Amino acid sequence: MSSSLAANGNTRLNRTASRWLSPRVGVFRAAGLVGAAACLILLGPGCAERIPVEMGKQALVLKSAADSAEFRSNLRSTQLGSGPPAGSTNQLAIYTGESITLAFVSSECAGVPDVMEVRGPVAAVLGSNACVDPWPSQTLGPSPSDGILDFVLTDPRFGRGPYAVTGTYPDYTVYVEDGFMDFDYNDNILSCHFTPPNCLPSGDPVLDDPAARHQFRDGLNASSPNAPPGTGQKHEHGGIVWKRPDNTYLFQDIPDAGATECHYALSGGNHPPPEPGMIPAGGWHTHPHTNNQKMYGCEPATMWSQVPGDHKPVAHAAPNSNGGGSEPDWSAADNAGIPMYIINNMGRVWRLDPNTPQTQHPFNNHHWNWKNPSTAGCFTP
Amino acid sequence: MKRKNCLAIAWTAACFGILTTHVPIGASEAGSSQCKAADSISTRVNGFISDLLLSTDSGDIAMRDTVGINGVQPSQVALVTDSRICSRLASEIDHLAGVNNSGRVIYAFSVGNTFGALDPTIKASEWVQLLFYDNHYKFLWSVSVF
Repeated sequence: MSSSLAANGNTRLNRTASRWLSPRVGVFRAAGLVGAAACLILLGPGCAERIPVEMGKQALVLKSAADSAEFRSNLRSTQLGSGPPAGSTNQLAIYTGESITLAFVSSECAGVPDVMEVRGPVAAVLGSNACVDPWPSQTLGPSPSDGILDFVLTDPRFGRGPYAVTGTYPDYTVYVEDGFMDFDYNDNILSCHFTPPNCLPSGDPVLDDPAARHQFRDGLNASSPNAPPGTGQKHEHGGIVWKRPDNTYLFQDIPDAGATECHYALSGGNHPPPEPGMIPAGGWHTHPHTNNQKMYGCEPATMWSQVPGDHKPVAHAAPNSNGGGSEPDWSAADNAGIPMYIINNMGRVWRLDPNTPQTQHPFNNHHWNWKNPSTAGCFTP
Repeated sequence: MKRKNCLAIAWTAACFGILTTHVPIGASEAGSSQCKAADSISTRVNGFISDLLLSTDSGDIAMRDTVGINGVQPSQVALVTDSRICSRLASEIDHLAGVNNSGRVIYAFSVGNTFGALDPTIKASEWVQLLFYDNHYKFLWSVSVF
């Protein structure tokens, strides 16, 4: 879009934004002429070239909701940006007890006043004129609950847009669009740093790493544990737990295209370390169920219900039975010679150690609570 | 003449029908029992059922209501050794699996007025299932055990 800011110490405003900040622009705004006239008077024809025009309407002089809708529906593809950054995701979760520090990085938009907010378990208005004014950093939290952070940049004419996230715990970059929807994902760019709750040692080195705890919870979230069974949304997730040379851990998510509500299999073949020097410390997967919750889509399909209403018997889950895992889960640990970590929607994390005698599986005492623990946000024995 | 033949056939069919409705209960008595004896697996399943009966989890309580075993005590859980019951439960599991007369041998438990039946080969994907039947051998519930 037409203005840009950078918060790297050399904040720069391009010509359009400078004019927006000038007293003269305020006069025009007060006169109800919005920005187009100001732009034309102050910048001349060069300004108009940068203001998107569709169906004869300039973006800066749209006055009604109908104008905005017509303009947006006719946006030419040539005006669109390249979309969200490569490798980005469209949501960022925060878990109970975590705090976040949000800092302005840059802006590239022209709405006056665009309002930058974060919504969710922690919420705040970050900037009330976020295309023009770099907003101050804010630390929010500890979060009172689990939830998804929603980053909202609202243009007074076009409303809000989507956002995209890159990075890994604890540091992310958030690319926010306003409702102008030119898909350049740079209308506001901010950094988001997570601070974990202080947790007592869990007795397990993997679970004592706050990044690992967050990523394990992310894995459960990706399984849509609270979706109704049989809707096709809920499915097991899993991957490999990698240990770095500095004794921190990474939960690598390795999707299984054949995963169902009752099965996940780590794909065969070679799984190289995501970073040099990493060694496998375990496997992990999710059991996104509560006790006696229905499980659809189990095999064989001729025997078990695949979708609600198909009049076949429905298998039910017991995620805390057998020490937290099925016999194939225990076998996976045996075969790999490393533990299998399992998180379920009963609020429990289990570690299945290799070579545990089968008769001892039901008495597995390597388990932690992630829900309603004694310390919010911790994995409590 | 034709009418006599028809009557004979009808009587034969009727008698055969009566016989077949009574035969399955005792059919296995002539052969080996379809009841699995107590072993480490039966101990694990017994433990699972006992935990289920004592659980305060809302999902478990709802399941006990559905199956009709609320109020049943763990002491009322017993491994079934009656071959007629095991045969009938095995037959019901055959029906579930879409096979006939497989001769499967099962772990059967009496849980109050219901039966729990487990064949380690009956799985929902990776999970071995414990199947609950009422005392008329009507299928009630299936839950993952291990």
